[in-house]
Amino acid sequence: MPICVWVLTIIIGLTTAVSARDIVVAIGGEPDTGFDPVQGWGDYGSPLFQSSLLKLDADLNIVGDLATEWTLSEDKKTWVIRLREDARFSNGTPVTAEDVAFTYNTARDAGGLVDMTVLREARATGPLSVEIELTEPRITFIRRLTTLGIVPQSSYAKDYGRAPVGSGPFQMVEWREGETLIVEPNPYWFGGEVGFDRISFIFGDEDAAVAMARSGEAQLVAVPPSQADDVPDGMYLIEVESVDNRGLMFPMVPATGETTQEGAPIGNDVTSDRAIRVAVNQGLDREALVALALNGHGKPAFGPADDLPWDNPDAHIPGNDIAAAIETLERAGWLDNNGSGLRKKDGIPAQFKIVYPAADSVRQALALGASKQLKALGIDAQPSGRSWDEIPRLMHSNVVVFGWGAHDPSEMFNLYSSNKAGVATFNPGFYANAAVDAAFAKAEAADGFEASLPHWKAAQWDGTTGFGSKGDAAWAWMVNLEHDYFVADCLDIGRVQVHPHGHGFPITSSITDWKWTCE
Amino acid sequence: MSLEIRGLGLSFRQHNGRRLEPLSGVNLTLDAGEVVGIVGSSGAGKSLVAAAIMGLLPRNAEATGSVQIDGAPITKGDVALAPQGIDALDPMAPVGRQLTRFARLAGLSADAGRRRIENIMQQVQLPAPVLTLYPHMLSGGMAKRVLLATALIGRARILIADEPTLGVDPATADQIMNCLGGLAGPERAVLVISHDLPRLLGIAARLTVLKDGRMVEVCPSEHFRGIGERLVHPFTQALWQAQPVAVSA
Amino acid sequence: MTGWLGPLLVERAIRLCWLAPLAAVGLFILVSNAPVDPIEAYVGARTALIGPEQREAIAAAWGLDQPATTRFVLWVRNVASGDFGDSILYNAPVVTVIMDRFPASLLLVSLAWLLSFVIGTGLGIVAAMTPGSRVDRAIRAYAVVLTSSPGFWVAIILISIFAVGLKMLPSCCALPPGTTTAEATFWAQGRHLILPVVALSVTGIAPLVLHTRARMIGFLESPPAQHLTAHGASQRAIAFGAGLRHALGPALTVHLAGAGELFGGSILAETVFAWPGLGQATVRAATGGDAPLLMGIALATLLFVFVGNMLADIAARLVDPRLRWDKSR
Repeated sequence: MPICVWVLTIIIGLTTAVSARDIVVAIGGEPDTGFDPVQGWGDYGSPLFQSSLLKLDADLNIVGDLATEWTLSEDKKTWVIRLREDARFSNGTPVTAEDVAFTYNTARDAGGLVDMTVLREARATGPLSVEIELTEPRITFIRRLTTLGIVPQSSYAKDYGRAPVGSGPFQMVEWREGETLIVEPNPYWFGGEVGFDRISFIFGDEDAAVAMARSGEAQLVAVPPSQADDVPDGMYLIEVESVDNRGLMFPMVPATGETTQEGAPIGNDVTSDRAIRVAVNQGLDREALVALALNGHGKPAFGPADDLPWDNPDAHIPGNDIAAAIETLERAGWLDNNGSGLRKKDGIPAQFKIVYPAADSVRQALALGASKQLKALGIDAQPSGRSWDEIPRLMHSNVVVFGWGAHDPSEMFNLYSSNKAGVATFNPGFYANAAVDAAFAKAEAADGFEASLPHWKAAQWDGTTGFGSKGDAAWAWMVNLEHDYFVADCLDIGRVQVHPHGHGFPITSSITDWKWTCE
Repeated sequence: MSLEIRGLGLSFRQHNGRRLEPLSGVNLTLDAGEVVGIVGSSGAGKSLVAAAIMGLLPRNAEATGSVQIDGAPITKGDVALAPQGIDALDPMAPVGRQLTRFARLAGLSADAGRRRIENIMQQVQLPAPVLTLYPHMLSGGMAKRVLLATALIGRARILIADEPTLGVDPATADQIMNCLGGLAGPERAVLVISHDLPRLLGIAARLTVLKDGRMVEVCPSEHFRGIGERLVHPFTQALWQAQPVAVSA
Repeated sequence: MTGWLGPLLVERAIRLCWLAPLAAVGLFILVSNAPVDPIEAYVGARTALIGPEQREAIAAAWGLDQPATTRFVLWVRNVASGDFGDSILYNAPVVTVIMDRFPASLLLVSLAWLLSFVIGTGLGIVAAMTPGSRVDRAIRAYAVVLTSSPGFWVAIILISIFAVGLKMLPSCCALPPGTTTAEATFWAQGRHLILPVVALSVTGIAPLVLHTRARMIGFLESPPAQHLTAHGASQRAIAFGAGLRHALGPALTVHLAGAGELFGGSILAETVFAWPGLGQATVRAATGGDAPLLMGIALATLLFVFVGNMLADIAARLVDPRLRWDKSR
């Protein structure tokens, strides 16, 4: 027994305090393939080691990072970019136009997680000027300009991801895969001072992260909604809004016996009726769903990009209006003549399945909640938990609870363009509206990102049609998740962007503004 | 020095509540320098006498009577037993290590133990390399002698050998029995339990004959001669007459 | 004395020669028929941003556009020349991925193995010395509770007591958060080992307790023990003397043969404690359809289990001399 006491004393004695200028954060985000932008690193949050040509500020406005000027050519196919002069990689060499061209062309050919298929070629036209030529007008390519970190041509090799050298705010000290990443400020960074001598990122599962917050070992921790209400001593809770959304995807065409190449049936005779889809949008009580499925940690969702610059609030129907929903159904001929509580039209009962991935408790709660609410409208929506392996076979003929949310309007294109009908999981309902497709085309061909915004909004609702719930109501969006973090009282993380799909690492988008406010 | 066994009996409680008395009213006296034998057919309770003396009884057994040395209860180290079965040797330890264990139990230092083991090995006529062998490598006769050696290490005043020649070839049996005969001395008495009557007669001064757990006869070895005319009990006579050597002796 | 070792090794080497290819084929069939789309898994959360053309490019980059048989033949050919391929998930050579993580796992597993052996056999022996007593019953009850406790649950309980409650031990990682490998002291590393090792050792203890106890009781009631008792040896002296080999030998064999199971258990422990070992990589490889890495890990595990079993056989022969003869026939 005395030995135990002795050992414990030593252990306690060795618990050393981390100095104030070092912080430990547990927010996930470890890239399996390493910190290589060409392979897809740096999609959300800070790329830490690299800087990109442009970046998004806290309000998601596009501002320069490595680029001081960026203009789109007359034919809207070439970005002409001027680089800042003072940018250097962490090994001291300057960032040149050659490096930028090399990065873009390499990413195009790499077969990694950066979709660069629209890039024809990037060319250095001077020491600090680059031209990036696309195969066709594509305004959303600007999203690549805000995320693709520039790598040095001279030292880029296959193992770059494990020993990254870039012109970003930090340099890597050590990466113990699966456990921790330790970074320190890059002395050559052009953005000035960073508030910490060292930042350590701890990976591992959520419970371990929360345990570290409670034991005082970590100063910033991503926390699941179920644990967010029990804030540890010395920390405060921040609740970040997101477009990490969940909604009901409707099959848009009637069932005609048609199938996909893989043999999955297409179409649904109930949800192909706009009245059903509009009524669902009108009838859902989204506040109740937030309380039920998210424990209150979220807010209602009305479209795929709520509160983002390309969101069109006019396209939304507020919902929670059962009377209006019933009126819509009655007017369209969905009647309950025998008092059974189930409406019918032309002998077809208002009945469909809501498929959700069985392992996802939030989506399960949403499916069950929606099903219950729709009963009041005389619609029999049966929740059906399936595995992700089964869902691709079911998603063209059943309502499915999906989740999306990106800082990129091209997501709307992917979800609602007739081009993407039945492609991967993009537009499983085979939605097609020529006016929407035309609006997308106009948006992509716009003079600049600002100029594209009205077209993205018009795709949602242009006063007569659109994919939004006032128009075709191709989806019934339900909730946006809220991303919760425990933050040490002494840590100021500045203003935070609306989060995309993905909880944790996006919080680092403001990392260079983080400050320690205690001494 | 003398061992006195008076009215030794054993009873077992059976599962059905009935009592079984495999041994009762056994008396035996053994003096220093003497070799005494216990004979009887299988199941007569011979080994039980040894077990009772050593205190190695099953939990449901109850012993009666007294076992004393010079009027005092026996204490640790007074009596040593060379058991009947060679499974009493530890299959996972070489002979030397096993003998060392008994030397330690006898309170000998490592050095003294080594010398003592050397000595005993000669006494039981085993060559030194046997010390490195494991029990499963030993012949029956060697194993019997190793068992004897384990009992000899601690200088017990009473040595009990239980069926020392069982399962051993005749030449080895002779050797073992002769060896046992030579072990009795001013400080030691030997009790040999065996149904190998002819060899036992060669070394024992007196024999106790057991039948069904009861003593039927105690007599000097000389009474076993001729056609057994000096033997009192018919069982003893039958036992003697069944021996091939009976008439010639 | 060790004439039996050579034939044993030769026999095992031959066994490995047919077992490994057989396992490779079986594994490949399993992996390539698993209902996981490696591309979809690789794209993961970025699914909205990666179009079909890029997916084809990814497939081509990893050779996933080839039929399974072609991929297997190619894999076998590369393995024959010592190249285990590249992990899709980690974008690094499989051998590098495994070798980077294996030492951490091995440290964890071997310490947990030792700890559970010491605790398991110790408790087993103590219980065996007084069968049926209160101590014995308490130990057996403890073993039953341990058997029915999932490892990760024990890990979470340990964290909530020692890390969150008492703030005595770290809940995560192999080193103190914020320290590099070069900066960490030996003591700091040791502290970080405690909870993961304890949590991992829990699963192996119960079978050892029961096994050791049964063996020890068996020996204490056997003729050799009685023979020693008759000459004045106490229960304790017999248990810790002659009895050790009888109880620990079989326990060692069982425990060595079960080392593979411990390796499986380390997957959960590594996840809970953010331990940078092979366990996490295994889970990712399996759920991500990373065939080359999964094959590599599976073969490495096969080798590990194989060596464990072989050591078990060797240990059994070292402990029990009777086996050395039987096997040489």
